[in-house]
Amino acid sequence: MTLLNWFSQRLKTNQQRQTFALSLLLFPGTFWLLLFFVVPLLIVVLYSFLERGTYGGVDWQFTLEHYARLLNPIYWGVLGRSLLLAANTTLLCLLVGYPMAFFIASRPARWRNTLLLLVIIPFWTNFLVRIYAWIVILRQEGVINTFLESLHLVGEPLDLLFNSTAVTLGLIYGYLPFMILPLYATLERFDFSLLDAAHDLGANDLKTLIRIVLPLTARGIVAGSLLVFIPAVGEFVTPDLLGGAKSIMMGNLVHSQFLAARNWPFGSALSILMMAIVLAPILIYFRIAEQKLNA
Amino acid sequence: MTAIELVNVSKVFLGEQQREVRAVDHVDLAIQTGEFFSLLGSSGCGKTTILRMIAGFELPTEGEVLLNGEPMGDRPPFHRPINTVFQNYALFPHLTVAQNVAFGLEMEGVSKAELHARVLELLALVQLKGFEKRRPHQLSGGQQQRVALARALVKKPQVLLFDEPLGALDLKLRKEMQLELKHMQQQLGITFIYVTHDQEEALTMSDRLAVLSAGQVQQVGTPSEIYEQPNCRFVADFIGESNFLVGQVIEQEAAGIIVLVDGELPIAIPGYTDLPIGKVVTLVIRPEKITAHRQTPTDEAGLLGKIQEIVYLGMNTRLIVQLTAQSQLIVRQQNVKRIISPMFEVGEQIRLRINPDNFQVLLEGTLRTSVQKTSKLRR
Repeated sequence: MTLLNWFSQRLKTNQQRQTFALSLLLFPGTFWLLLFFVVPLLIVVLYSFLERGTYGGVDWQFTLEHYARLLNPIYWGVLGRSLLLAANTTLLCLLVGYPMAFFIASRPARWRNTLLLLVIIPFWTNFLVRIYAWIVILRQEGVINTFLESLHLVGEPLDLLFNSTAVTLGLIYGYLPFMILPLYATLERFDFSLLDAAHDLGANDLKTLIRIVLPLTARGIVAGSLLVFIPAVGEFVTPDLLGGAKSIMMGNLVHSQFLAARNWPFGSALSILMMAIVLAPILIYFRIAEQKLNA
Repeated sequence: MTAIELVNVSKVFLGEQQREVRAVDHVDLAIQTGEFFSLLGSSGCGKTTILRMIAGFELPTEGEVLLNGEPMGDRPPFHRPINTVFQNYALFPHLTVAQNVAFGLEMEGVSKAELHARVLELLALVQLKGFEKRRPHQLSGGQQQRVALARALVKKPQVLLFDEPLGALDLKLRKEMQLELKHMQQQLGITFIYVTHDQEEALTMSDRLAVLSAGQVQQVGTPSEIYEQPNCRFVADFIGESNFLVGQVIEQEAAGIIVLVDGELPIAIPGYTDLPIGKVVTLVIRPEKITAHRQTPTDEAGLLGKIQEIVYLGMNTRLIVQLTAQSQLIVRQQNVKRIISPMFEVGEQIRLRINPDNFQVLLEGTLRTSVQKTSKLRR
C-alpha cells in the first residue's frame, strides 16, 4: 500500500494518475488472457508447422505437409458438413428463438424474469446428461418410437438416432439459450409503441416486422447468430453421441487427431483452418457495423 | 356532418388478479367533421383509451365506433383513414426524417416521384426543410414533434388523433405549438381529436371539448360553455377555480328564487322558477366574477364578509373571505391600478358584489346542517 501511495504521489497530473489506476485494474485480466489464451494459441500455430512425434507430441522440424494434407477433399467434406450443420442450427435457433424472445420481452415486467429463468434452467444440468436424454428420446426403443408403435402408426421403429437430423436437434437444443438471451436483450429495449405507429401508418403485421422490428433488432440477431454458429461449428460432443459415422464434424476430427491418431500437428492445422473460417463472418460483421456507424 | 361517433362505448381491461377495470364506461360522443375536439381529463380518466379505440389499437368491449356513419367493427388501424401523433412521437429511430415521413406513403404504394414531392411538401409545411437526412435522435423535441405531425399528415387522414403531443415540450414552445396546430387545423380542415390533461391547452385550442372523469363523459361543450356553465360540481372544480355555496330554495317569486345558503344567508337568483321550495342546490360562482368593496355607511349593496387572507399575485389579488360560518369565497380582484399600499387588511369587513346572473345553479349538493357537526367531521 505504501509503495502504491509513494508511486501515485510521484505522478504529477490527474491524467497520469488515471492511466496508472486503469493499467493496475486491467493487469489481472490482461495477464490471464496472455498466459492462458494467447500463449496456447501460439503453441497451436507453432505445432501446426512441425513434424509429428511418434507417440504424440512433435519433432522440432519445420514442415508444411499438414497444410498440404488439408487440401484433401475428405477434409473439405467434413468442413462443409460442419458449416452446413452449424448454419442450419443457427437458422433454426433464430426461427425458434426470435418469437420466444419477442414473447418474453413483450410480457409485463414482472413476468419476464421468470420466463427467462425457464429458458436458462436446463443449463443447470450437465450438458452430457442432457444429450444422453436425447438418446433416450430418439433411440429405437425410445420414447418417440414406443409412442408411435403403441398407436400402430409405424410397423417397425424409425431410425431417429445417429444421423445429421439428430445432431441438428441436439445442437439446437444446446444452443437455443445463446440465441434467445441476446435477442431478448435487444427486444427488451425495443419501443413497442413503434408497432402502433407502423400500424397507424398503414403497415400490416408482416410489413411492420420486416420494415421496423427486424432492422431495429438486427444487432441482437447478429450477436445471437454468432454465439450459436461459432461454437456449433467446433462442436464434438453432440455429433459424437447423437451422430453416426456420416455426421462427423470438424470438432470430432480435431478431437480424434489429438487423442486417437496422436497427430498433434495435423490436429493443430485443422484447428487453425477452422478458426480462420469462423473468423471470417465476424470480421465481415464488424466491417459492416463500422460502416453503418460511420454512415 | 359527424366524423366520429361513439355509441355506448365501454372498454374493460383485466387488471391485477384478473380484476376487471372499466377504463371507459358507456360513452356517447359525436365529433363533427372539421372540428377541433379535445378530450380533457386527469390521468386514468379513460381519454387515451377512447383515442386508441378510435384509432383501432384497442377494440371496444361494448358499443360501436363509427367513422362517417360507418361502423368500424374490428377493422385494424392500418385499414382506417385515421392517423395518430403519439405522446412520445414514436418516430422510427433507424430511418431518416424523410424516410419516416415517406413510410406511410410507401405502405400505400405511392409512386417514387409523387412520394418524393409529397414528403418535401409536408416537411415544408412543418418548417423542416433541409432536415431530410437527419435521424430522429439528432433533432430537438419540438422538431421531432413536427416530424411526427408531418408523418401523420402526409397520409391525408380524415381524422387526426393527438395523444398529449405537447407534454414533453417546455412551456414557451408548447404555447407556440398550440397556436401553430390550431392554425394548421383551420387551414387543412381536417378533424382533430386532441387528448390532454391540460385544461388551458384544451380551452385555447378546441372548438368543443369533452370533460372526462372515471371513464365517463361529464360534459361536452364549447370552451365558454364548459367554463361558464359547468353542469356538475366536478367540471366546475376541474376547470379553473370555483366557489361553491350549498343552500335550499326557500322562496319562489315571479322573476326567480331565493336560496338560503348555510341556513343563514339568502341570495336571490333570477330564473329557475320551476324549482320547488326545499330543493337543495349548489351555487357556483367564479372568483373573478366577484368584486370586493370597502364598507361605507351609505352603501349597503352586496354580501358582507370578513377577509381571512390576502395574496398579491401581480396581475390580480386573491382574497379569501369568510361569508357564513361554514362557507368562504375566493375573490380575484383584477389589479387595474397600480397597488402601492394594500387596498384591504386581513380581518376587515368588506362587501362582495355579485351579479346574480353569474351564478350557475347545480341541482345537487348536501346541506351541512350545523357547525358542530362539520367541525367534528374535520377533526
